Amino acid sequence: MGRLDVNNPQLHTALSRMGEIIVGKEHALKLALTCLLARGHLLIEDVPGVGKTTLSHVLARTLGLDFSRVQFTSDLLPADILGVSIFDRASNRFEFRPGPIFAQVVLADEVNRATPKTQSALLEAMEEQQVSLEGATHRLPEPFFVIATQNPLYQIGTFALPESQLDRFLMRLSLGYPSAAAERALLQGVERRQLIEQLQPALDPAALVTLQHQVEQIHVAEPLLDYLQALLHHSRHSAHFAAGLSPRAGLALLRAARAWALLHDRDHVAPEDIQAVLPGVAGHRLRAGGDQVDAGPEQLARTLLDEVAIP
Amino acid sequence: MRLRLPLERSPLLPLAPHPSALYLTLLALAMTLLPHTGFQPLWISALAYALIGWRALVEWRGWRLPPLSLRLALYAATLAGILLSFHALHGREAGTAFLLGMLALKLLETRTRRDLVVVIFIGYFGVITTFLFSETLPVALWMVAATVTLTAALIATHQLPTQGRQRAGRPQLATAGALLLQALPLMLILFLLFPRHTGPLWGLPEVRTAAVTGLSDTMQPGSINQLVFSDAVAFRADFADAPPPAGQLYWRGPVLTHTDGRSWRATPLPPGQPPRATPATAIGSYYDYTVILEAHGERWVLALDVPLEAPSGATLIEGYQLISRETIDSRSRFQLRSAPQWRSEPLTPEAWLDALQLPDGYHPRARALANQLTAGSDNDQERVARVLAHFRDQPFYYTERPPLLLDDPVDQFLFEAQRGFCEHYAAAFTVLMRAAGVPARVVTGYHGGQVNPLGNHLTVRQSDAHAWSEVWLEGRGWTRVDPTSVIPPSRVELSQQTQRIREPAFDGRTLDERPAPHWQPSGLDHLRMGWDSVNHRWNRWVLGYSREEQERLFGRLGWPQLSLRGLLLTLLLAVGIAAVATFALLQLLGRERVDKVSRPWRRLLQRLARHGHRPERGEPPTRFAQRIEALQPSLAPQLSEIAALYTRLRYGRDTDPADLSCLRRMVRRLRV
Repeated sequence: MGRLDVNNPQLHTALSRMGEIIVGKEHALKLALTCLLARGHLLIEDVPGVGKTTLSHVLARTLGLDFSRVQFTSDLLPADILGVSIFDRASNRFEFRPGPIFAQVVLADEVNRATPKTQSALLEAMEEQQVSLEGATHRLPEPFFVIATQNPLYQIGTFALPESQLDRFLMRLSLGYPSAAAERALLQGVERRQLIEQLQPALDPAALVTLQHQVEQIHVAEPLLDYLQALLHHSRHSAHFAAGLSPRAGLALLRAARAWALLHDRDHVAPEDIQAVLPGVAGHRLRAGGDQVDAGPEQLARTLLDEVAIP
Repeated sequence: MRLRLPLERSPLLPLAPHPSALYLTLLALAMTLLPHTGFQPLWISALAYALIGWRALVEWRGWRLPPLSLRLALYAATLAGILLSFHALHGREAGTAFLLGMLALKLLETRTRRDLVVVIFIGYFGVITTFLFSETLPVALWMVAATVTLTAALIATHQLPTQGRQRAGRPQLATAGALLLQALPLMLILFLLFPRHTGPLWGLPEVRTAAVTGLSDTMQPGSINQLVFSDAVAFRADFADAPPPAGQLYWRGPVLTHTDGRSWRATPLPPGQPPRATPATAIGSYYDYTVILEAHGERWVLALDVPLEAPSGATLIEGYQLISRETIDSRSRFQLRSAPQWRSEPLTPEAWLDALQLPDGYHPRARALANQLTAGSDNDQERVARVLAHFRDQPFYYTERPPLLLDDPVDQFLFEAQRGFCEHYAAAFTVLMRAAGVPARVVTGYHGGQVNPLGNHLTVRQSDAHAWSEVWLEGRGWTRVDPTSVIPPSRVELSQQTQRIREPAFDGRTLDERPAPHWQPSGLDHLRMGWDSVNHRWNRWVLGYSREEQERLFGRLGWPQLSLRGLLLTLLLAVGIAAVATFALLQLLGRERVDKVSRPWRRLLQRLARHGHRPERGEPPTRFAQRIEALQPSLAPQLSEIAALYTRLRYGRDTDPADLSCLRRMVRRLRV
């Protein structure tokens, strides 16, 4: 999808600046932005080296957000993410040293390499927007956006996120290899790191929060809810799916579709919005069944969309 | 009473989700209790209202609810009070008092949503109990209002508290009203088709109300007089055609044949089915009409002089009296036929003797007067005329406040007081006729009645109570003579209160000669008549909808004899049809809204389908439009514009009617 059909002027500027660095991944960029606008968190599942870190970095930079990166390893402890209380001799008291999670955009790289305990610490903080340590509660900044990356499961020495944890991410995307032309541009062009440093922010955090509020005001008409419910119902009753979409998945779909509508500068959600976000939102929540067992998440989402008529 | 469990104090169980829920419930209960204040002992109502007020204050001020010990004490006191007042816990009065008392006490332990729902459901039952006591139109309307409020409370109970202040209860009341309005067709079907019970439905003892004003089967000086000041309705009558002239409006009640010198009484009814009597033979025309009788606690049915046949549920007995099979404890309806002119069968010897009976040792002067007046006459008709002339010519006065006559009322009236009420005249006249050898008897009942032009029915009140005489004339049989009517107007003393009602009866002519009363009603009279007419319709069409009426309705629809099973089947069928129809209607209405936008788009799809362009399953309109434009570039960009506009109208926030007509226009103009 080469054409950038984003109509919201601020977001269009932001996306076109990101597109200059991450070439040929407009759709993924739009979905990532949608996820951020919908106050969700993003899970990127891909092999290393396809630009996950660059994407997070670019996103933070363009939106004027501060950024931190945590490399998950098997010996990473919760305190390494959340922060620790240290005894300060000068003031004679414990002082909280915030961990890397206290940033507006957090990249949790290779989250499946850490132990479940550490994973849980991250996911709980994500869920509650706060960190509770030794009786004190520390609010996380706003906006707060976690991009977790995960290596595909065939890699050795990983703790795959269980389904219940996957559910906490609004979307799961995979970037995939760049197209030949994009790769050519990548190989010929200037080094990405340099480009990122020159990048001018298109938005500031306050504007972003306003946009997040606007997402909630997007109108949802009765026929659209009919369509959404038809999708949920089909996912639960069709033989093609072993596990259907939960009510939480339905809410997530609606939230993401609202953000997608805002991205296109519309005040209401249309079925196209649902269809655009469904592979990202529902892909990791659907379990294939029947003759679809071999289908990937993308394929599974397509099946669902093709089988449900728009009322 | 529930034990206080630790769970009850849990802050996790808020009293009610919506703040209006409790207040609406309290309001509805207060409304339900209002009609009961007239039927229950005062202390029950006072207690219930106090508890409602207490609970409201607890909620408003954030007080604590009373502890278990206080609740138990109140419970015991209420129970004792009911036992002391009624000596029972069952039966209509005691049972209702018990229910209402416990319902009000339940408020003191109402904390959770569940408690509130229980209170509301008992509240619905409380609404029903009101109808055990009164079925009048105002009470019914009030109970509808109470039901709407209770339903609103039930709705509020299941709502979440909303942010910000809301107009208290208003939206819930609106929803409840709309809900109940939707139930109206179902209610009508059930009303029309539900099998009617012939006896009293509740089968409760002591339903009979103690003091009902009305006629009785004995008459002594003053017994009818006491009714004159009662404005209560005795009965209403509906005539199939025009009502009879006023002179014929004698409504026959108990016929009194026996006298002990002081009082008159009817032949006592044998227990069970009274013996049937031969009806009179009508001369000329007769009237068909319906009488809706108010409860009077006795068995007789008032009919226009004289009834020709017995209606269903009643028997025609000696004296052309109609006797109902059961005591009339609730408003009852009778289909009657009467003839103003009639001829009787010959008297049996016993009846002849009965109609001449006078007690020994009483009325010596009356007997002498009778002999003196009728001496030299060989004709009963002439004897009647001479005695009537005596009343007319001597200084007899008609008054509502007659002097007290103790020893021999007839003699004292005829020779000393000479002032009396209709019962004095009827009794004295009958005694004089019997003394003169003419068989005679006293008939009590009502005379006149007010024609209500709004309902075209006749309303007869207790103040229309009257007594007159009947004499047996050779060749004619029993003939009505009203001695009161011969008193000239100059000797009539009416109080202001009754002047309007009674005056037309005294204008010097005999009643049979007079035209229908004609008076100019005032504004207040119009109101009174309007209200009377509404009540009459309510009684006739709603409360009077009996088994017979139901059969008549079915007869008109083509099923004359419907068994109970048939009735139930019809009922189920009708309810089923109504349910399906309602569902279909709602579907249709729902579709109607969507259709306005979808119709032009569907039309366009049909046109495109003729060229083989069909949207795929799950393909949104805009994507479909792009695909078709690629196949058939001549359609671009109109098709995409139409799809975008359709999507906006279908899923957008505010649909502008101008946009809709724009969509229709664009669809029309597109050349496929």
